[in-house]
Amino acid sequence: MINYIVYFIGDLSLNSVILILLILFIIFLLFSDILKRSSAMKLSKPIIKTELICVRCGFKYVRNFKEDDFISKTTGEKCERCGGILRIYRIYSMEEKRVK
Amino acid sequence: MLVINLILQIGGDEYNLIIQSLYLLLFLILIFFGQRIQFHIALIEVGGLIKQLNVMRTMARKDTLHEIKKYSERKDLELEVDRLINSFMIQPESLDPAGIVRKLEHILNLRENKFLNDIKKLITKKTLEYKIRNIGNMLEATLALNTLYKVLEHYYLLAKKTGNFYLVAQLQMLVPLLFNEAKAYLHAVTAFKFGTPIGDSIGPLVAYNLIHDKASYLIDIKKDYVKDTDVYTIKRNNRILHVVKAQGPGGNVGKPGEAIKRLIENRKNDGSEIKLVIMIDAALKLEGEKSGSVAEGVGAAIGGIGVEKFKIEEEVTKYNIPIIALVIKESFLEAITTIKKDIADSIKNIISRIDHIILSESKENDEIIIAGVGNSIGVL
Repeated sequence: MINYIVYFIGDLSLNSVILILLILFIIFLLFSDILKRSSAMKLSKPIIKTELICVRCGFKYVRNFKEDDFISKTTGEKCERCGGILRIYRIYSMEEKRVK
Repeated sequence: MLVINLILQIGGDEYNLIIQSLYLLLFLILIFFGQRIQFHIALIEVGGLIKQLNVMRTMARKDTLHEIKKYSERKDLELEVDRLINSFMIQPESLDPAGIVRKLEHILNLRENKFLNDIKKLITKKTLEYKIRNIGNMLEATLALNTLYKVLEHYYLLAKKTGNFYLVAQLQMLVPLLFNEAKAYLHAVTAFKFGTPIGDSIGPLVAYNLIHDKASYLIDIKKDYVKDTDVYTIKRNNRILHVVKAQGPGGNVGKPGEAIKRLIENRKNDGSEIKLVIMIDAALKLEGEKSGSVAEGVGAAIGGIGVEKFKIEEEVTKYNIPIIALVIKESFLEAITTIKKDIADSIKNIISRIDHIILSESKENDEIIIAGVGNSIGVL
């Protein structure tokens, strides 16, 4: 097959080489467009973090967000340092990971 | 292989003649059918994006329905959800604009109450009020996505039907931008499902942090001062601050305009007066601007259809009260999805800006209104 292609290319004029390159370029453009479009469709899933603060000693904790978390909520979790009540004081999203 | 063999059998001059004829043919095709080819390429591109929009719309609807099913045993849920996401509001006639704000406010209140009541009718299990509000917000985002899809599909089908190149060219230019908007709405559905603070919650977040700051001393709390809006009175920098914010943690924007109006009037009736109004809100950033950057200006920093803004402007003009706006720059996607760390980090900066404004623009013991405008989702 490779021999056939080399023989074929060797026998071509400049005009036909340009024509083949042009066709290959158009195919490349079409594929890159399809790839671009499929990447546009990908949705990103944010990593959501919840920051808690101990109401007694002010120690701060960061953990992953759990459903029903909201700012000012006392979650029932205890401070590891002093045993005080933890209160949510910040919720935010970090860099996103892409999902299909 | 047979074709290649045939081509190789042709002599050099004949071969070049065929290639040149092909070029000429291509040239003529492009001259006479260029626009038609372009029309079909554009139609395929727009059609692909609209198909993806349909997938996104279906995902949003499925997510919303799934969330409602957690709190409902009704059998006709799908039908009812479809009814809600296809609902609409007709704006009042503006041919005679006198009194249009009052009419608009009436229609908006009616729509808001009806939408919430319709959701409450869907919920059959015992559910916390804030959860119902979050479901309401999910439905709103799904409705927006549904409307966007329907409008774009309408123009796409119209262009296809009439073979109108210029219609499809406009769509080709617009659809990628609107597609990003649709992606934002789909992300918003997830944010509302979890009940996390969104970028637009920056106003209520600043208000919350100001109230609970070590340098603030809480004097009074007026829950439901006006519908869905709370007012906290604090002492800070030897000034009395009335902090206005929408009631949380459910998705809700409250009525900050009505609250400011009533506060100014009530303080006047009590023999005192408001000396300054400071408004904090999220604002759409320009592409080159940094998310979370803070800008300062004058005027009523509040979005929406204009009723609340009108009320604030009327009131501050009536009593000649200076009004200062602090806006936090965000993209549309950031405004309606879970708040980004960069934006949440700007709260400290905004509070120090508020302190600076208070100290430079007012005297000791002055009464000031601070309004944290935005959706209070995820912020008590």
